Amino acid sequence: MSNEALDQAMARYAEGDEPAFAVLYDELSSRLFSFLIKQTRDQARAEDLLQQTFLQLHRSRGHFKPGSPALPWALAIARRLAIDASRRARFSSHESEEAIAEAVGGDPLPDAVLSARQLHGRFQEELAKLPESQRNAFVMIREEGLSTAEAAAVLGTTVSGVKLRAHRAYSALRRALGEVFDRPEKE
Amino acid sequence: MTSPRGASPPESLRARILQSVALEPPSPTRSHRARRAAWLLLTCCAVVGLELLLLLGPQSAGPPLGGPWSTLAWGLGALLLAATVGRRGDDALGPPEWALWVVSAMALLVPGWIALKEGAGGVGQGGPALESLEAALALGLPGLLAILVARAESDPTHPEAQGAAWGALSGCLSSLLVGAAFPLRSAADIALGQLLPAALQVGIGSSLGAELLDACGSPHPSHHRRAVGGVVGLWLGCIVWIHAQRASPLQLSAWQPPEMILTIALGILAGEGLGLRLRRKPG
Repeated sequence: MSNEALDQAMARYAEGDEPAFAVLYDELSSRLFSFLIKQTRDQARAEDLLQQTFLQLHRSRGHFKPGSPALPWALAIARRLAIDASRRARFSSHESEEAIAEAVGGDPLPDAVLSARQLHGRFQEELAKLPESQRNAFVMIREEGLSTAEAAAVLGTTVSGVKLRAHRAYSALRRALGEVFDRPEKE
Repeated sequence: MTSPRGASPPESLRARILQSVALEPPSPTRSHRARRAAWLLLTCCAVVGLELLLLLGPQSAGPPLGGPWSTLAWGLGALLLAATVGRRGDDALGPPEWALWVVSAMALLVPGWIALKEGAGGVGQGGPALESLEAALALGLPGLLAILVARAESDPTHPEAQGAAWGALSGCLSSLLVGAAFPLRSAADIALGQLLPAALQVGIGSSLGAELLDACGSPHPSHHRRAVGGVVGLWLGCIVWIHAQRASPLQLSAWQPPEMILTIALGILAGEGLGLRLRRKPG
C-alpha cells in the first residue's frame, strides 16, 4: 500500500471511520516497529512503545490535518515516546547476533545470508555509536524514507540542519564500514 | 526511495493493540474538535467582551495613554504570532521549535522596547499600573486557556514552545487592550502593566502547554484539570481584586501586594479544587 493510501486511511480515521484503524495499523506497524527497534534495541520495549504510539495516534486523531502525510506525524509520536522511555529506563546494551536475528526474525540461514546478517549487526553497532541527533537524522532519511523537510519537522530542526547531521552520520558510518556503505541520497 | 519494511511486529501484538484501542474511550474526531474550538472561541469572546465593559468602563482612573507606535507594534506582534503558531505545515507538525521561541521573543521585546521608549520620562501612576497588571491577566488568560484546551494533545514534538507562543500572543493582545485603556505614563508603569503580564502569560502558556498540548503525555486527567483549574483561579483572583479595589470605601494605597497575593492565591486554590472535582467527559 502506498503512502497516499496510508494518508487517506489516517484522514478517514480522523473523521471517525473506525474500521480505518486496522488499515492504518497494517500499513504503519512494520515501519514504526522497525524504527522503535533501532531506538530501543529491545523487542519487548519496542512492542510496548508501538502500542503506546497507536494509542496516542487514536487519542490525537482529531488534530490530524487531511492531505498531510501521516508517516512523519506517527514517527514524531514514536520518537517522542522512545525518548521519554529512555529517560526512565536503561537501554539494553547487548549486541549479540542472536538478539539482532530475533528482532529481524527468521529461521537458520545459509552462510552467505549469515554474513549479511553479521554485516547488518555491525552496521547497527556503528549506528548506535553515533550521536543521537545524527543517528535520528540518518534513520529518518535513509531508512524510513522521509524527505529532508519531513525529517526536519519530526526532529524539530531546519532542513539544512538535518542535511548536515545526516551527512555527518553517513561519513562516520562510511569510515567505519567502508565501501559496502554506499547509497544514493533522497532530497 | 521506498523505505524497507524491516522488522515486523508479532501477530499477537496486532490483536492486542486493536483491542486496547477498542477499549479506549472514543477520541474526538476532527469535526468534533472543530465544533468544540468554535464554542470555546465564542465563549472566550463573550467573556473578554464582558470584561472590557466591566473593567475598562468609566471607573478606569485617568485618561488612557497608549502610544501610537507601541499600539501598532503590539498589534503587529500579535498578527505575526498568530500567523506563525497557527500555521499547520504540510507535515501537520507545525513550525519548528526555534521559530516559535524566536518569534515569541521578537513579538514581545520589540513592542516592549517601543513602549518603554514612549513612556520614558513620564511620572509613574502606581495604582492604575498595578490594576493594569491584573486587567492584562484577566483579559489575556481566557483566550490563552481556550486555545490550549482547543488544541489539547496536538503536539508530539515541542508542546512547551507552542504553549509559550500562544502565551506570547495573548500577552500581545492584552497589552494592546491595556495600553489603550490605562494611563501608563512611565517606563515603570509599562513594565508593570504590559511587559510583566505578557511575560507571565508566556510562562503560563509554556507550563500549561507542556501539560495540555502534549500528544505523547500520559493520560492523567487530574493533572490537566488541576492545571486548568489553577489558571481559572488566577483569572478569578485578578477579577475579584480589581473589583474589590474599586468597591472599597477605604483609600487604598497604590501598593497592596499582600492582599493581592492572598486574593490570587485563594483563587488559584479554589480553581484547582474545582478543577479536580470536574469529571472528564469521554469523546
